[in-house]
Formats: sequence, structure tokens, C-alpha cells
Amino acid sequence: MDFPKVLRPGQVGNIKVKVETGKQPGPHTKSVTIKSNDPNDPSRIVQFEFDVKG
Amino acid sequence: MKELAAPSSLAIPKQNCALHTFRLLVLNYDAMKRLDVKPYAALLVLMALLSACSGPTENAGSSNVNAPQQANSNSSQQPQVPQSTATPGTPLMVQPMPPPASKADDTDTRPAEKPPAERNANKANTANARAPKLVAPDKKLDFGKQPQDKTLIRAIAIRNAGREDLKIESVAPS
Repeated sequence: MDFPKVLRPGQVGNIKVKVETGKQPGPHTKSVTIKSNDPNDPSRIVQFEFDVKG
Repeated sequence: MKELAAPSSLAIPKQNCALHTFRLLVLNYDAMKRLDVKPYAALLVLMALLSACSGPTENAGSSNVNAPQQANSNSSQQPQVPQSTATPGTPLMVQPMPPPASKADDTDTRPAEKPPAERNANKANTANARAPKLVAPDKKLDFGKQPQDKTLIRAIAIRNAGREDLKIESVAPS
């Protein structure tokens, strides 16, 4: 995972996610957990999905 | 001064006295008409006024007993004057007035202090308003159809919507 360590107020950053599709065809759902110093949401989960063609 | 001609029935010993002259004038109307009575008339009026004004004062208050009620009968907004209940003849008692209450006891205009819990909540709210805020996609991201055995590299955009620096501690697959 590649992510910015600090974001200034109003700054936008990108978290680079590397995913192996594997051999299993069909839909797959994965997620990453972002832990930060946000007091209201210190552990944020972002989900994503992809469909592996057989 | 002219000499008065008094009838014999009202004969008064001739004495050069003002009182006798006055009495003669009162009793003898003809003599009054002949005499220049203007100064005496003024004196009479003055005496009548003096006697009227210097009348007995014992009942002066009793004739106006209902005055306060009459005065207040048309205006109920006026404050009622406390009536003295002292009987006649007894000395009036002076009742000491209670000291005025201090202002601090009546109205405290200072704003009431908030309880500690509320102060902490407000402090937390202000702290939260300034705190960093992570904005990340809420919906599930769709990477579409992918071939087998492929390595995907995608970027997930995040943003700091707070007023302080957002520190990303870790990003881990879950």
C-alpha cells in the first residue's frame, strides 16, 4: 500500500491499492482499512469489488 | 367722625370707645346708613373670615374621614394608603420599616455558569470542529471485470476536510 502520511487541511491524497485478481472467476469484494487521527472516524473501511472473468 | 344719633331705647353710655361704636352700628341700621361704614364693613368682613377660619379643630379630621376613599374611588390603580388603626387619644406608633433587601439576593444578572459536563461537551465540539476529518468513498468501488491472475493497482482518493493535519497511520487490507 502506498499512502500519504499527512494531509494538510483541504489537501487531497491517493491511496494506491494493489490487488491480485487470482484464478477464481466471479465477483470479488475486498476492502482496506484506513487508520488516521480523525477523532470521529479513526478507522475507516473502504470497499471495492471486481469481477474475474473465467 | 360724625356723632351718631341713637334712639333712646338703644341708649348707650357715651364712651369714646371703638367697641361701643361698633355695637351701636350693628344694632342701629339707620345710623349705619348715615355713617360712613366702609372701613367698618371691611373690618366686619375680616372678623367674619377670622372667626370662620379659627373654628374648632377637633372635628376637622372627621369631616374628611372618607376623603381617601373618595379620592381612590375613581382610580383603582393608585396604591392604598395604609389606614391608621390607632384609636383617638392613643399616640401613634411608628413602625420601623424593614431594611431593603440587597440587590444580590433579588436578581443575579450574571449568567449562570454552565455545568462541567456541558462545558466539556462544548469544548469537545469546538475541538471536533477543528479536528482533521478523513473523507473517503462511502460506496463500494467498482473495478469492473478483470482477467485472472492479474495485479491491479488502483488509487483511492481521500481528502482532509478538517482544519488540522490528517495523519494516516496505516492502510491495511481487511
